[in-house]
Amino acid sequence: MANFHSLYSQIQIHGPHEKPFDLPPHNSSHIFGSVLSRWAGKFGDPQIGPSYLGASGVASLICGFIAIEIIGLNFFAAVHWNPVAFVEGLAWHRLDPPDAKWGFTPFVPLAEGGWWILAGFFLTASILLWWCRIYFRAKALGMSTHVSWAFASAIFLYLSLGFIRPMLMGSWHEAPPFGIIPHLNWTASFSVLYGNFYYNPFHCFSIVFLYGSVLLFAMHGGTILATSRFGGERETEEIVDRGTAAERGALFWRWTMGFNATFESIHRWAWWFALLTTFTGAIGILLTGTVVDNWYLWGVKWGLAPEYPQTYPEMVLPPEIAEQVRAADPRSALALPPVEAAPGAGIAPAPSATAAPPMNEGAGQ
Amino acid sequence: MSLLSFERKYRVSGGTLVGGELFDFWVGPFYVGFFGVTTAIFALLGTALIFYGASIGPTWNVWQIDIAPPPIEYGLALAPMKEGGLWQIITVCAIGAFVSWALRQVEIARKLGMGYHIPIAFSAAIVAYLSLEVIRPIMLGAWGHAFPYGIFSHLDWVSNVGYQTLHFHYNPAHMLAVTFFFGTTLILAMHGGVILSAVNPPAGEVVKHGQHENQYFRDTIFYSIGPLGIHRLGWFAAINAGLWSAACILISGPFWIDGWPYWYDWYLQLPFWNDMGLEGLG
Amino acid sequence: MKRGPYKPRGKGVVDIVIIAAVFVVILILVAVPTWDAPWDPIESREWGWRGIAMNTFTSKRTRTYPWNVVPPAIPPYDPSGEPASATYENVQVLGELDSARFDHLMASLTQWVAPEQGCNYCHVTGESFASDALYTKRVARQMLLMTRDINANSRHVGTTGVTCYTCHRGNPVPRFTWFKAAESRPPMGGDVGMPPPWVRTAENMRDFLPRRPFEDYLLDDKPITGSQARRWHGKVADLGKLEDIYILMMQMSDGMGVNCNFCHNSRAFNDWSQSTPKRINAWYGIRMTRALNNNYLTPLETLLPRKRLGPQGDVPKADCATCHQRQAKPLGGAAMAHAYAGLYAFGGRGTLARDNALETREPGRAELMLSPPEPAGLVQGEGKAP
Repeated sequence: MANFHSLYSQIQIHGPHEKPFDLPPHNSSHIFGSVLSRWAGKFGDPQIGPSYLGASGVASLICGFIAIEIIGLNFFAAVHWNPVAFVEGLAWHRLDPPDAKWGFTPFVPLAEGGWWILAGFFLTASILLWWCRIYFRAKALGMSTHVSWAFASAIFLYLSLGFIRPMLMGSWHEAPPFGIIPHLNWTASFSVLYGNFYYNPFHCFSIVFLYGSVLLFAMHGGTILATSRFGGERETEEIVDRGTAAERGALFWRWTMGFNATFESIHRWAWWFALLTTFTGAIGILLTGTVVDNWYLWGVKWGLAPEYPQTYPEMVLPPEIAEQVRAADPRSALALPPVEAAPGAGIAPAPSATAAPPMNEGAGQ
Repeated sequence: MSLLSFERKYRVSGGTLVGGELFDFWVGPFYVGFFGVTTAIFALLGTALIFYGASIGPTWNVWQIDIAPPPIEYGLALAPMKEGGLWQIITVCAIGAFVSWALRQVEIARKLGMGYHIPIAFSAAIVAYLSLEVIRPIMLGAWGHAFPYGIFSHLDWVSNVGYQTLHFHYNPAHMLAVTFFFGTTLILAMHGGVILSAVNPPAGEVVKHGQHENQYFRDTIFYSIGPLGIHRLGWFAAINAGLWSAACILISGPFWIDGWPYWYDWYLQLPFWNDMGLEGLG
Repeated sequence: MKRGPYKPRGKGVVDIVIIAAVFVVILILVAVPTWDAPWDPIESREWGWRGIAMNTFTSKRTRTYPWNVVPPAIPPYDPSGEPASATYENVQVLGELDSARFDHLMASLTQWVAPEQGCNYCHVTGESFASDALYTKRVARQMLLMTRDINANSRHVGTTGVTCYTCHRGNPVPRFTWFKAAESRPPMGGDVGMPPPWVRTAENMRDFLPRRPFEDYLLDDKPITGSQARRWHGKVADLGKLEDIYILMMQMSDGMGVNCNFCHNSRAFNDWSQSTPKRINAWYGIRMTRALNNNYLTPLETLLPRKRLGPQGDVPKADCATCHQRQAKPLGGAAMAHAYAGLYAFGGRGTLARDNALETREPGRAELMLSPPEPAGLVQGEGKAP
């Protein structure tokens, strides 16, 4: 047992390349030969390619290319085709959805958000075609279509953000912009605008499944690597014909936490956790602004928000603000009766110029 | 009975780190061991203290129970029980329980002749926890910087800590951590999906194995990392999600106190942006 | 070990290059950006209930900005018993002031605003002091009116008072001001929308961020309503506006060397009952800044020469950073103004009070504002928790 190979491949065998299975002609249009990469081989399989060129894949790549071009050329044009400015601002460039005044109409002048709609259309087409590709490829290989349904869940989140929720809200303006920093700004502003996403229960679920997925992969990846000396990575073989790797992996968790999955069921846990991450996230997005307009207040209503002791019980608001607070919530402790601003009674007392006041009164923050 | 059909032959003595054969036994499906005992003690004491903290608090509403660290003027000192002292003891219990659990995993791995990959990955999570509750508070000089124990109170803490640096999405380590989180979930979906689809083929098809998995991903995305590689990648990415989370919170406060957007001054000052004979935009 | 034929030469170089590149990137990220360090030490202060991280920080870097030092004051002169209007000609603002105090103020404000240029920055050598020939003198007069108005009427400033030094710090133009961004030229005749709102020629993030938030909220009187709830506002808010408000709030926080938690519990930004009293002061501060920009600074447009104006021909304007200069209290709250009676508008009422009755200090409320409750410790004791 000199080489466990569990973290990287110390020995690489470079033999004949794996050839694709013989499939019916319409399913076997393979492109690009295969190459062996020493760097890929250190970590995973050294063979890259060959790949499959299908109608949906080609169409998807074309649509994706168009979407990227629309976005990229808009960025480039916005800096007057200045390549340095284009590169400098890669993170900051933005392509915004139409303003609220346009509502949800698909016909918006290009410069006022039409490009965003076009880019979104082609990106969506590209993604849906890619979904077809991975769905039909599984069919062609005689496998089931689990991967494509997990991908569909992610597409559902993407469509919820950029299409379904804007449709429900009746405004493209609710959708996120294209751009790295702009979409991060959007995310932060979105949370504040709708009253704090931490109080959105479906956001909570989504985070739980996200962290849960990472936890599961750490546990599962660790288990397989730790049993790789017994051939643990031959998962499908161990599923249909259990060997000592599967037995040890199962017993590890049974002895640790009293419960174990099997080599097959751990992949069901994995698939569901990953799928539910985006699915619950999408539900949380779709409810925002349509059903619930302030998640923090929703949390207060259902008794989720802890009440912290008042740190500043004596706070008195400016009359204008107090009025707003009173209008919103007559029971608020801050909604004090209005104080008449006494006109003319506001001149500062002249400071005594002889007695020098302390110069550093209240220094520091 | 709690034994699996094949389990008896694996239940052998030995492999313990501490305590020899004293605790080398099973209770139901659970292996005990010295670290099982310490785990139980720490976990029970910590849980009991959380219940005690809830009982002296204002509410039994499970969402609102809040056991908070001391106010920051206590610095790194011990605080009275009702003003954060409870939190301090619970934190000690939690660390004791987590570390015991990891060491128990080591003992079980030794018993089963497995590698230490699982306790190593779990250690990354412990490091992230320690960063939040111990290392960063020490670097900032007060236990009060740690997060409270409470379902929504810890979310309020997360929210406020994010806004301490104005816009946490601009934190470069946070960007990396989020990428690892999403990336791990993506590859988990792909891996889980491909295994299920290979061993649960449509009616009339035979069960598929590695060659089909490889071709599936070569056909769709040009490259299949392979059955061993995907677990290396997942394990590596999951650990990195934890470690970069730890990094992103450790630099927020101890190493950068202003808003994260303002950290990028250096980027705008890189010498090669302006003055290349190209028109600026004013 | 013998190399197999499949392993072409030169691959080792690639390995080295990749590893070296990783190290270089790490080195750059450590060495190039500004960092603080926990051994500075970082000092923190808590503004809310324990455990919810409503904390602000200072580090050695932010505590020791060279410009945040209170300058030595010129010792006061003995009163002459004669008003300045009797001693000098053409004293339009400070005529009632004792002439010795007037001289003292002139000497001091020279040090505050134009220490290098001296008296000649406003007064022409060899000509009478009464001459208004230089634009700087006419601007200075306007600025004196502004200072006197602030000190007499601004709730935000309270009794601390401001002097020319609060903003100028020895510079003829304050360090932190803002202009409107240059009028952007729509690319391709407008077919691809407007250029991004970032100020690309900026060399720091404060100047790089879009100017629309400043224009909308520190010049125009647009309402700053941040979070959506029909219970609060009755209508759906605009997501795009919120990004601007977010940027405004970041610029405010950065300008004062604090963060969002100085004023807000971020779980409910708009909820006044969970905010700190600092938010009240900030609210008055925004209104004061608006008033100053509109009533005192924008009118300088006719006085300032072109070189002092921005790309759109607008004057340098104020935001929070102009006075605060990355401190929660400008100059640590030093009440420099108290030594200068001329910086207070006796009897008169400036535009701050005329335009905005709420700016007028009311004795009862002022008391509260001047001594905000100590945030941490005092009210969080065991006995006081409900």
